[in-house]
Amino acid sequence: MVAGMTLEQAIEQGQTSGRLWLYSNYHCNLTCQYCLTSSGPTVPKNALTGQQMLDAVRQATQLGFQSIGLTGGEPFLHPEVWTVLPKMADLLPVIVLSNGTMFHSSKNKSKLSNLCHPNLQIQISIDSNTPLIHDRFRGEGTFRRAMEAIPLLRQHDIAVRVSSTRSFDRKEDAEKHSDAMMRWGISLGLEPKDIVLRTMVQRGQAINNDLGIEACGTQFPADLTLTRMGAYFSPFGPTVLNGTFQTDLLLTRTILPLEKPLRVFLGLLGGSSEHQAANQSAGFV
Amino acid sequence: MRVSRVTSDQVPLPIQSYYSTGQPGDLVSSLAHVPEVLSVAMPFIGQMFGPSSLSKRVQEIVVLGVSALQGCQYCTDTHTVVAHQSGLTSTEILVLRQVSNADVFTNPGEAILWQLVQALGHGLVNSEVVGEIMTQMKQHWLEFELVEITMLISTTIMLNRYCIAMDIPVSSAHKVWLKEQAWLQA
Repeated sequence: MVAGMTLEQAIEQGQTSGRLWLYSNYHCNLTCQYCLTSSGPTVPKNALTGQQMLDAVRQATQLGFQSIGLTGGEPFLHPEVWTVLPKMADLLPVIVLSNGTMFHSSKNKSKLSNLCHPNLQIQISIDSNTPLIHDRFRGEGTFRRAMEAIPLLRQHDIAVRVSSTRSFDRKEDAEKHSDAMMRWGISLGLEPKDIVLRTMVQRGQAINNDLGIEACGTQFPADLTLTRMGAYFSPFGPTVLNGTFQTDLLLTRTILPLEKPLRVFLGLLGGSSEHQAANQSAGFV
Repeated sequence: MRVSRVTSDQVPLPIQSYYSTGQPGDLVSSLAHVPEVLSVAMPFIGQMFGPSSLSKRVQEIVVLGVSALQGCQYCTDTHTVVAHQSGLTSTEILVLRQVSNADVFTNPGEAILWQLVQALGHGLVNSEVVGEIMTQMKQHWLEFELVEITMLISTTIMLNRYCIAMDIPVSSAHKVWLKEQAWLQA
């Protein structure tokens, strides 16, 4: 039991979604224009160990979390992710955020069957159904590779969803994009619930490229997030700007036992309606 | 300083109150890298160095004396100012700073306290010597005061080591004040 509000109460009141986020690692094979963690092939990995991830999920189960989100960096660059994911999914539903470009090699294809699990879903980032727009944010040829991942994963009975991260100055443009993504996703055989629209936030690399909307503090959705650098208030927290780790949404450097950062997290939630609004409006997934 | 200062725009959520009146001092600005440490360390430090059962004079005999023995420039200079504000004489301060070895603590309780500070403030502690001093301390101090004095000595050593390692600089205001004191320049 955590002093003050319990996790169960916080979930009931809409203050948090009940998902625990894990940043498995900070490095990536891509260098996306708006990446929160300014990830790339040459940045320090700062990876959680497989054991830390499993311990966190085991403890999350006992503490009342309802699901796990795994992100990075590109999680599938972390060699242990391939083996710990099914074990994590044995305990709680897991969504993994991926750029979708890591599944094509024969080595990784041979490991895909490990990821077939009823509690596991892979979310592929596809920012636009227009290849040029997607590639502008994520690099040349990335649209094609991400698109190829969808049937590849499905062939192995791995649940797939897609997400588009964008921000628009005009509401009409946002609605137009939303409609286009929905129509396109459905044409690929995805269900509407598996087509996710995310808000591009001006943090991390997005600041350098003048992308995304400005937001701060309690405007971010409140979901406890663990990384090698510590525990954060929101999955928008562990951002990196010009090589510096941002700490404005840092809760504790201690990540395990999970109860410790959870206590601080719940202490900050209080009865704030701002968190409810943030959780309803600016989903991370 | 040997680590960066956490600035107001990057202050972690749980410790924002420490920045409510602007950029805090270097101890807080460095500890802010680990919010869960700051949030327990500062109330503890505040209790040990703030109002307590010990008088300000006794606290400063301990803190300045230990800091000088430990060789912490930041703590020694900062607490020279505090000791002066707390009413210690320039002669006493020079003794505590290890500049003079005059016999200034003539009150029996303070004299044995000064012996304890010197015994525990050195790097190597002789347990038998400390035992003898503690026996004499009991003739002048109550048990709870012994506990508080010993914790204050220990906390000061902890902070001395931290400030030396982090190379926390003496504030410019304190530097100016210290420079103006002719009795300190000898």
